[in-house]
Amino acid sequence: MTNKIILAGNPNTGKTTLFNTLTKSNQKASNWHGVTVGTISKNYQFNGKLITVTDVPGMYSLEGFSNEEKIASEFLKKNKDSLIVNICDANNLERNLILTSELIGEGFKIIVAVNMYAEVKHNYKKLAELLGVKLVTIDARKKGSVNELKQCVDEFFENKFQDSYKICKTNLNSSEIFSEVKAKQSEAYKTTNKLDKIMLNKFLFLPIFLLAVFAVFFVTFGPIGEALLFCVEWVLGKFLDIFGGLLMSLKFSSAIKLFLVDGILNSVATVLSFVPQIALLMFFLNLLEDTGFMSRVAFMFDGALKKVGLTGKSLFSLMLGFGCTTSAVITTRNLENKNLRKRTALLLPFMSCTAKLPIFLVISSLFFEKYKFLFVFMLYIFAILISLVFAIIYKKFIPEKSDVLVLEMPKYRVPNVKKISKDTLSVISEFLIKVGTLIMLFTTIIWVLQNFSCSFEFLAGENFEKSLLYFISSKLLVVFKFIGIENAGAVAAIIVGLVAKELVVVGLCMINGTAGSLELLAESLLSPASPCYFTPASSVVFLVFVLLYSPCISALGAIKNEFGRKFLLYVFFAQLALSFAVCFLVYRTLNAPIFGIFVLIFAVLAIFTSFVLKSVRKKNSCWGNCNACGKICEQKKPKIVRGG
Amino acid sequence: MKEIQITKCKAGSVYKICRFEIEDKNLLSQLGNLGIVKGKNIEVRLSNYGKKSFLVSVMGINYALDKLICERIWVYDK
Repeated sequence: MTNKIILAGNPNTGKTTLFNTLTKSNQKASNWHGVTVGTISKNYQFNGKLITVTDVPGMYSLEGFSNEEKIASEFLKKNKDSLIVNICDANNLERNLILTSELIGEGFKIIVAVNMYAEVKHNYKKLAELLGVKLVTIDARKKGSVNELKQCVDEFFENKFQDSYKICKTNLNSSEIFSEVKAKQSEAYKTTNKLDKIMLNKFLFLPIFLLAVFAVFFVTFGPIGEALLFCVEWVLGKFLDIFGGLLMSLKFSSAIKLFLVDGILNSVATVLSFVPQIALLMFFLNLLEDTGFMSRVAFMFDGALKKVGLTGKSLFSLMLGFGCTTSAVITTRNLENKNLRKRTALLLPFMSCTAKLPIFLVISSLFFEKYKFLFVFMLYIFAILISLVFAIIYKKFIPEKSDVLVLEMPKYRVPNVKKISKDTLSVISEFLIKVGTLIMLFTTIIWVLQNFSCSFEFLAGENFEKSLLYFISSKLLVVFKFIGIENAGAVAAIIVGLVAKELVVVGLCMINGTAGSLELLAESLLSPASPCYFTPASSVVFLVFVLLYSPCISALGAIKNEFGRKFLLYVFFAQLALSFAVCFLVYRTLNAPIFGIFVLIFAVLAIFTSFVLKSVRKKNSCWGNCNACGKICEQKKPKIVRGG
Repeated sequence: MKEIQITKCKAGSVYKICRFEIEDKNLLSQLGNLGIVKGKNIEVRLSNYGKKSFLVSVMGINYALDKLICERIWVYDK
């Protein structure tokens, strides 16, 4: 018989953190609602027993409202015989115990685990007596602190206290202990409330937010990030020199060396040089998230986001999009409204994921070396502005059902550096796995396409014009010429980027035969003699195209799973069409600034006209029953049903 | 006793919830699950730009609620 336990509780109580501690996993855990959107199971061993732990999404009640609450509730009902470890947050005990009483009332076998018990000193012994179930205190982040829980679970499966479970309906509010719980709880939020007065101040919030974002970008792309990049590049260069020398000393043929070292390993090494900067960016984003700052950002931007058809909750998925579009698409599940989910998912490709970073850094260093950091920052801002314009457009086309914001604000916490480092390492290991599998595979395919002609003659890295890759990309060059990309090499890099954005830099290295050295790659990209080269205008257009075009195949797969094939095709072609349209405008503006001024005036006029039309329409609309216009009005004031 | 909407409350003062004017049953039950129910004490802590969203405190827990909801929660005025 398998021993199963389910971790259930309110959102943001530390279920995933406990799951990670029990099973030594590294699932994404955070302090905002909706991080876990599906169930996940893993085993751990204790006293010779194999115990399967399942982490379910957070729920406030068994009669859940949101999608993830329904998933959790259904899972619990299907596995009614399993032991439920009900995790409660000591800081929010009064509210957390509502679900506890519901679980006891429904006859589930539960152990209550009070997390972060040291932060608020409740009378846990008395509470356990009152509830009539086993209660343990834990700190889910510490391995040693969950031993009592493990022991308790073990005793349950030994049938030591199974019979003591009784169905009891507890009256939470009337008990003496809950007045104690209430008093302790309000003390726990004292510091948070003081900090909120500063952080959520109307005038201070925006400067604080911008300063935080600017600091993250400065550290990542400024001197610290650059120094780390240089170190990693040096180490990888040395390693490849030694490996190449070893191959030569073992008398391998030059074709094998060309394939292994100059082709595959050097190209992959170029992508790997950017690992420190990706790690820095993710570390600081996780740091901001861990303090509880992101929920405040969602609250403060809610009003502005409503204007473009989103809510503060959409912001979580959008922020995750800066890390990885695929995981961001999956987290849109925590949005209750289907149309809001679609609108949020449509904006995710605009949030530049970490895989695009190497491309931005390589290309921007060609012509904007001194202002590289500012240039990359501007690219991110540009993508956000375009996404806002499209959010307004999508608001018009995807019917809007007014969505409300109900969001729990977590306590401010001192960031847990160990957890943040673990999360960052997890992102980096995912990146490395991707480089070692998908990127390696497609690098091999690119190498074959680049080194063989249409008649399968081996070209040994020369005569790019004769290669299969040139043949394919030159057919598409006609279209790209309209936006100022005039060489087949750049087109080939864009095509391979459809698989994964990391492949764009790999493609550029292989096409120009400069793999392994960022300096050589930069030099070759400036030389018109190279198969792939850029002028200042074409480099900007290339970056804007990469910034906006269709997301990678794994993100498209996630979109298909969440929203279906039709939606996937729409996202793919809409992003492509949009990137062409924007690049066309950018290219024409760079070549003839008067064109740009004309477009800008036209855009301002269009916005002004739409604003005037909207205000005229607003003036003419009425709630009815007023007799002001003398007409019988069909529009009636929405009927309100009284409840509560 | 006079009843007022949450949006009209004085920030920093505690009020008792007297009724809801919410037609969406899902939303009503969602608020119920959070403990925002009739008879509970609620405190408006802050409102963001243009009073579009409010930071309220119920049972010692802080929540962000938008104007649409706050206009439909009525409390006893002091």
